[in-house]
Amino acid sequence: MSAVHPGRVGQRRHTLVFVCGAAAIVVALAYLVYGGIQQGATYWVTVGELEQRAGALPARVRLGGTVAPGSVRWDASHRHLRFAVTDGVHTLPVAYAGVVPDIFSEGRQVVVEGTLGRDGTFDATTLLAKCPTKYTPADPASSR
Amino acid sequence: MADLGRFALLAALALALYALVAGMLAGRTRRAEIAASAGRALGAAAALEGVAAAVLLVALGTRDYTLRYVAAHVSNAQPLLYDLTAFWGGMEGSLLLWALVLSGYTLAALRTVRRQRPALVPGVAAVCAGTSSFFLLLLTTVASPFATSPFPPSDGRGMNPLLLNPWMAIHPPTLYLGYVGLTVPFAIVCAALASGGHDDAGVLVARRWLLWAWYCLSMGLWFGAKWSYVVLGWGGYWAWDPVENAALMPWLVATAFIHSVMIQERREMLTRWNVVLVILAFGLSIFGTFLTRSGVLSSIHSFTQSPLGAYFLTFLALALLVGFGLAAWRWDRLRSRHELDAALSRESAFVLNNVLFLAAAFAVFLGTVFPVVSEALGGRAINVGPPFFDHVVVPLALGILLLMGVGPLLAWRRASLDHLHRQFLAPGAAGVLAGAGLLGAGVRPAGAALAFALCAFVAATIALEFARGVRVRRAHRGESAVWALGALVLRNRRRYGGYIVHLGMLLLACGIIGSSAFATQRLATLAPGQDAAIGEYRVRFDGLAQETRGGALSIIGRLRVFAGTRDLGAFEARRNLFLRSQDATTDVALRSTPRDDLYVILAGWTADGRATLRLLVNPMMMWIWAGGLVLTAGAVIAMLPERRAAPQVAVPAPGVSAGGAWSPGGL
Repeated sequence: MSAVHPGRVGQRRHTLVFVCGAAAIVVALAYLVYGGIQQGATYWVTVGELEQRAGALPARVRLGGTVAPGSVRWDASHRHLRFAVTDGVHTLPVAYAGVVPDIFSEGRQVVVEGTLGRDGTFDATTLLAKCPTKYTPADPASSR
Repeated sequence: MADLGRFALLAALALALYALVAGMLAGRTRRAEIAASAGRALGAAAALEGVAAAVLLVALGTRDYTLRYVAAHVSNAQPLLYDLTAFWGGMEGSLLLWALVLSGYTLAALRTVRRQRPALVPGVAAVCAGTSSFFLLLLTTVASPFATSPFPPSDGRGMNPLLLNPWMAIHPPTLYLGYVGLTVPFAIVCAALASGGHDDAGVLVARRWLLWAWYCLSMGLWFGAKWSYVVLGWGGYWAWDPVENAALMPWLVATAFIHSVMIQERREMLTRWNVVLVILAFGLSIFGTFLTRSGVLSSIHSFTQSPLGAYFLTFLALALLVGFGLAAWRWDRLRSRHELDAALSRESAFVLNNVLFLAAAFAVFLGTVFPVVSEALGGRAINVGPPFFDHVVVPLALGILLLMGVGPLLAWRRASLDHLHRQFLAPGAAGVLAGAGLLGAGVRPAGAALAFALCAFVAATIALEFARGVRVRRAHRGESAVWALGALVLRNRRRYGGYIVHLGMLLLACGIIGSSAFATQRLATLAPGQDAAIGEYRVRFDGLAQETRGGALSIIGRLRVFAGTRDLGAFEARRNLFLRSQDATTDVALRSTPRDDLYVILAGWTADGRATLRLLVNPMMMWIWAGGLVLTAGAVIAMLPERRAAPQVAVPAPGVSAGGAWSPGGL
């Protein structure tokens, strides 16, 4: 089953080239992944955590919660959506200027990504809404 | 009725378990009648699943609300067509679809394998039966489509209106044909490893099945992107959502396999690698089904909340254990016949191609499960969004694009440098000219111009391949150019079908580059009569209108689009509010040309009749859709069976001269 290998030295050199090449690619990939994480990483937090430990967390965070009923208002002059997100205990006002997903509605679960402004309003750059009971094939995503 | 369905699934489960045992027994004892019995059991299980599916379809069509599944996904106001597509609109129904498609594939695979390699039949039956058993187990225990409620409602809830769309009707079945289709290559390879004595580990038999599954995955992804763009109405088509990534990962691995299998065919190398790829592809398809089913990664803290999650992960672990275990057992037997002859050769280009595709799949996987991993390791869940994926995948994709152009120019075994110079001259010049032209014309960012130059290079290499083939045919047979082209493609279907697929991917790449780098967007609040300019378009808002249609209140923004002084017509941007369910959908005002898309969303409105419009210009979107169509044409050509039986053992590279990068027949 084992074929005759013409020249074991050439063989070893091939293996060496191979291994070096593979190592180079792994390093390059690791470098890309590291850079990507730096660029794209955001922490998951809850409303309560954000309110209590705002200073200790990095600026950009991802927040999950439910849209508080009665809080949704479309601000036409400023062209952004205002609503409040709650985890049942704490509530946080949010301002969002991007595309609003179709399944966004009061009482639905949402994920917002952005920074907590000085005035206590969360400036969201990303808004994702989740259909609570039914299976939806994809989360409608907003623009960036 | 529900009882019939439940019983049918239970009986199917029993038969599938029997087939599993019989298949394994037949493999051990090599008794053909046991294998035949397993095949018959699988046939009966398929029929019973058909009965269950028919029961569900009838219930959906007649709006039988005693079934909870029907009440959840059907409503009196919903059109009948979507009542029927609700079959796969919910979790239980989609699992039944999985099982049904798997049964279909199993029966077809058994027939083909019986003809090509009868020794593999028991193993294939056993693996397929095992997978069927898993899904039937889910369907009879935790996810039954036939659960009834004692007090049936008078009207159902209906599906989310986002799903009431032709693209979404066809997207799941197509994707499933892909996902499920990856089971067959896995079964064939496992059977070959288990039974031993097959030097190619069944890979060459599995190739065709994997190619088909790859094609279905490609189309599933394409339909999903189309749906996302046209229906979801956020202006884009790919969001690096976990569910999207779930389908992308097996696609990347399958694409890598399609290339590396050619090396195994020609030179009997990389057998072990191909075995690993097949197992990985199947594992990723199960993982993808799991991700899509449970939606776990969008809500990080519910990772194991659904009981389905535990079942899927257990099955996944079992499947990987079996697959890799068998591979490890036969590892020594899969040794390569030959070695890589030179660093510069088509083989090494294919190896690099594989490395890049796997690196991309790994990166997508890492980014998708990052929240889980980071929480397990560091205590806090961290999400990585689209910037991560773009940052990592784009360079890899550009590398793959480059290889797509360079690969066909390299000779098998060893490419000589001066031959390479001659091959590269014309395409290289085309690329450089394109790049210089674009940069000179002021196209910025420069990276996009260079990416387009790369595309020009690749297009030139593909064109050159066709031109050379036509020239040789004409020299030998004196045919006309058009006839020669047609005959060339039809006689070397795998090779030229593959080149057409490459062309389709190239169009896709151009479309992605154009729409990512040059898209513009603006938000404008307009009173009736006012207009907003974006790019070279001027959009005039003509007022709001209201309409009630199909249980929804539609707010319509009437628009008129101009380019300079040319009137491009009236358009409507709608927002549909469904009265009963508080759902909403968006109908985008879309004007597509090969150059760009004008895309307008009605974002909001005020009581005094002003509307806030989000206007986008997405260049070259049509190229993406066109790329999918060209890919289909190429895939169909490549998948058409060869006139004579495909060789099952590698043939030595025919007539490889020093400059033999191009040979007239086959690959």
